Amino acid sequence: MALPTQTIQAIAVSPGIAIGRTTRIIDQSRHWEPQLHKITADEVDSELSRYVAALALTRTQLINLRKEVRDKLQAQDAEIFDAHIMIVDDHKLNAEVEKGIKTDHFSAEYALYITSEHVANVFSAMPDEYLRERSADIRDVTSRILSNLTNIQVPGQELDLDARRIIVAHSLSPSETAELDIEKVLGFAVETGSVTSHAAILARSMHLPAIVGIPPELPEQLTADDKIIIDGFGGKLVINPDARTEEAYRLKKAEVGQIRSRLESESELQPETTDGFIVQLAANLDSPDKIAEVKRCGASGIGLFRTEYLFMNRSTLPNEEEQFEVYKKILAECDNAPLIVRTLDVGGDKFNTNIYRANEQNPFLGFRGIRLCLHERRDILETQLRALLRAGVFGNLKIMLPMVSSIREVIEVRSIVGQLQHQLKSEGKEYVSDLSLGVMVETPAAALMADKLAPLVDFFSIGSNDLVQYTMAIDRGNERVAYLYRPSHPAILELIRVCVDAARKHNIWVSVCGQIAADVYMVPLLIGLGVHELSMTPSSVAVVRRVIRSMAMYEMEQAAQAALNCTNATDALAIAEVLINQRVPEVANI
Amino acid sequence: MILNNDTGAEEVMSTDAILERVITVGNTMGLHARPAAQLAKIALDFDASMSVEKIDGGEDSVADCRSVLSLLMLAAGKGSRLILRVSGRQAEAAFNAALEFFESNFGGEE
Repeated sequence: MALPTQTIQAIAVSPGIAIGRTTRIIDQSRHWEPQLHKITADEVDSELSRYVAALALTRTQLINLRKEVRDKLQAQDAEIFDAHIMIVDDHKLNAEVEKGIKTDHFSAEYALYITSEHVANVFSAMPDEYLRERSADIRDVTSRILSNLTNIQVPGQELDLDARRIIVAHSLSPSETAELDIEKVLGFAVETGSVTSHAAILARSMHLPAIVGIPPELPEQLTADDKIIIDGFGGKLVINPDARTEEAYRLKKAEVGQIRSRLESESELQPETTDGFIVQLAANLDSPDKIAEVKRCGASGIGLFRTEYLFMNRSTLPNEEEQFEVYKKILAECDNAPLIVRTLDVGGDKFNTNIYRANEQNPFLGFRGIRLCLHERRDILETQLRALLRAGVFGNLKIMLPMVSSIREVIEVRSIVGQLQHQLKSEGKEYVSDLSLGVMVETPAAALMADKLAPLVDFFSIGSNDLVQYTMAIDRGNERVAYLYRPSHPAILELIRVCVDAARKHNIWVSVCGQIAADVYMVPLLIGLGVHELSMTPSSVAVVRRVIRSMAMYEMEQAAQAALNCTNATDALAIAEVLINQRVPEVANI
Repeated sequence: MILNNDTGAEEVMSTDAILERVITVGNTMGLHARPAAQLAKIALDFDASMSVEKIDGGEDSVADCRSVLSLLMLAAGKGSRLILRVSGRQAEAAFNAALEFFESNFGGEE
C-alpha cells in the first residue's frame, strides 16, 4: 500500500533533483540474530563443510567487490575490502567457530554469530578509535557470511533492476555503496550521515542528488508502489507527490539540466570579467585517470594535484622512479599548462597505515602534512621532491606544501630542495633548477604570517576547508557544530585579505583551492578580494566561468569590501547573493 | 640441511623445545593493523606454533600469531611488554624471523 502524500524536511548534501521509485537498503543483521540451534554429532561434518563453503563464497564475493570498486571508484575505497578478506581468513575466528560446531554442537550460524559478537565487543571497548571502528568491519563480514550460510539475499541484491531508482537507506556502509550499480541510481536519501559522509561524497562525485536526515522508519515503510522526489537543493523529500508538485519539480530538473549543458558548452570561453580582467580557473586532480575530465572542462591548468592516491592501497611506498613516471606523464598531458603538485598530506582525516598511524587525541591538530614529512618521514618527502625535481623539466611544474604554520618549515624545505638539486647535479641527472615553490595557507598562523612567508615562496594557495575549520575552531565531521561552518564569515574573509595584500606587496600570486572556490556566492567575494586563481572539481568550472563572465571586477571589489565590514557570515553572504541575483540569477540554483 | 628459501635461515629440527623471549613494543603506534598482518604472515610461513602473551595483560592476554584479530585484541601499544613463544618443527627459523621483525620495529614501519 502506498504512503499518503507528504513532504519531509531533511538536509541537502548533494545538489540536484531526482524523481522516481525507490530501492531500499535494509541492514539485515539489525533484524536477524541467529537463535541457539543444536546439531547432532552426525551433523558435525556436514555443518563444518557448510561453513567452509560459505567462507569460500564470501571470499570470492569480497575479491570481486574489491576489483569492482577499484575499477568504478577510487583505489583507496577498495582498501576496506583487504581488511574484510583478512577477517574472513582469520585463524582465531575460524578456529573458534569450528570449536563451537565440533564441541558445543552449535549450528554454523550460531557458532559464527556468538564468536564474532564476542570479538566485535572486545574491539568496541578499545580506547583506540581506529581499533574500535574495526568492530563494524567484523559485523559487516559476519552478516555477509551469515547471508551466504542461509541464502538470505545480501543487502543490495534488490538493486538488480532494469530501471533507475532512488536509494533509500538507514546508512550506507562502504560495502553496500560499492555494490551499487551507479548507472542505475538516481539519487540517495539516507537517515544518518553528514555532508562529509561516504554516501554524500559519492553522490557529489557522481553528480547525483542526495539528502540525509530522513526519518528512521522510512526505509521500512516505503514500498515499490511509492514514488518519491529528492530535492538536493532544499533538502526535501516528497513522498507520492500530487501532479502539480511533481510537474514543478520536473520543470526545475529540466531547467537545471539545460543550464548545466549550456554552461558546459562554453568551455572555450575565457573566464573574463565584463571589464576585461581574466581570472585563472584551474581544476583539482585526485588521480591521473581523471585528466580527460580536466581537459574537457576548459581549465587553465591543474591548481591542486593531490598525491595521496600514489600512496594508497598498497603495502610498499612508491619509489622515486615510479613517482617520476607519474608526474612526467601528467605534465605531458598538461601540455605546458601549469601543474601544482601538493606534497604528501597525510594525517588528520587522511591517514594511511603504511606511513603513519598514531593514536592521537586530536589528529587534525596533530602530526599531519609537512609536520610529518619534515620529521618522522623525511625520507618520503625527499623521494617525492627528487622525483618532482626530475619530472619538472618536462613541463610547467609548481610544488606546494601542506599544513604550513611557521616560516621555519619553508626554510627547511628550501634547504632540502637545495641539497637534492646538488645531489642530482652530481649524479648527472636533469632537474629543475628554478623550482616554483608555494605554500598552502590553511592555518590562521600561515595567513597572519603571509607578509613574512611571501618573500620565501612563489605563490600562496588558500586551502579553504581547513582554514575555515581551524579559524572557526569547529570539527568538520561534527554535525552539531556544522552550522558554524560559514566560509563567508568576516574572520575568514579578513584572513584571505591579509594573505592577498601580502602577496600583492611581494609580487606573488594567490590561488584558492578548497570547496569555496566552486561556491557561486563565494566566487565574487574571493575575486573581489584579489585572488588570482580558483581551483575546483572539474564539474564546477562551467558554472564559475559563467559567474565571472557576468560581473565587473569593480562590482566584486565593492561586494568584497562591504562583506569585510559585515559583523556576521549571514550579512556577508547576503551581499554576494544580491550581486548573483542581479547579474547571473540562473546559477543560483544549480 | 635444507635452506629456507625466504629467510636464508637454516631449518632446525626441534620438536618439543619452546623458544621464549620478552619483547618491548618500540614503535609509536604499537602492534596495530599492518604489523599484526605482517606478523601473522610470518607465523603462517613456518611449520611452527607462535604466540605472544601481553605481560600484565589480564584476560585474553595470549594471542595466536596466525590470527590478526587475536593480535589486535591485545591492544599492545608502545612500550607494551610481550612474551614471544615459538615451538614446533621450524621453531628456530620462525623465532628468528619474528625476532628480526620485532627488532626492526616492525620492518622499519615502511
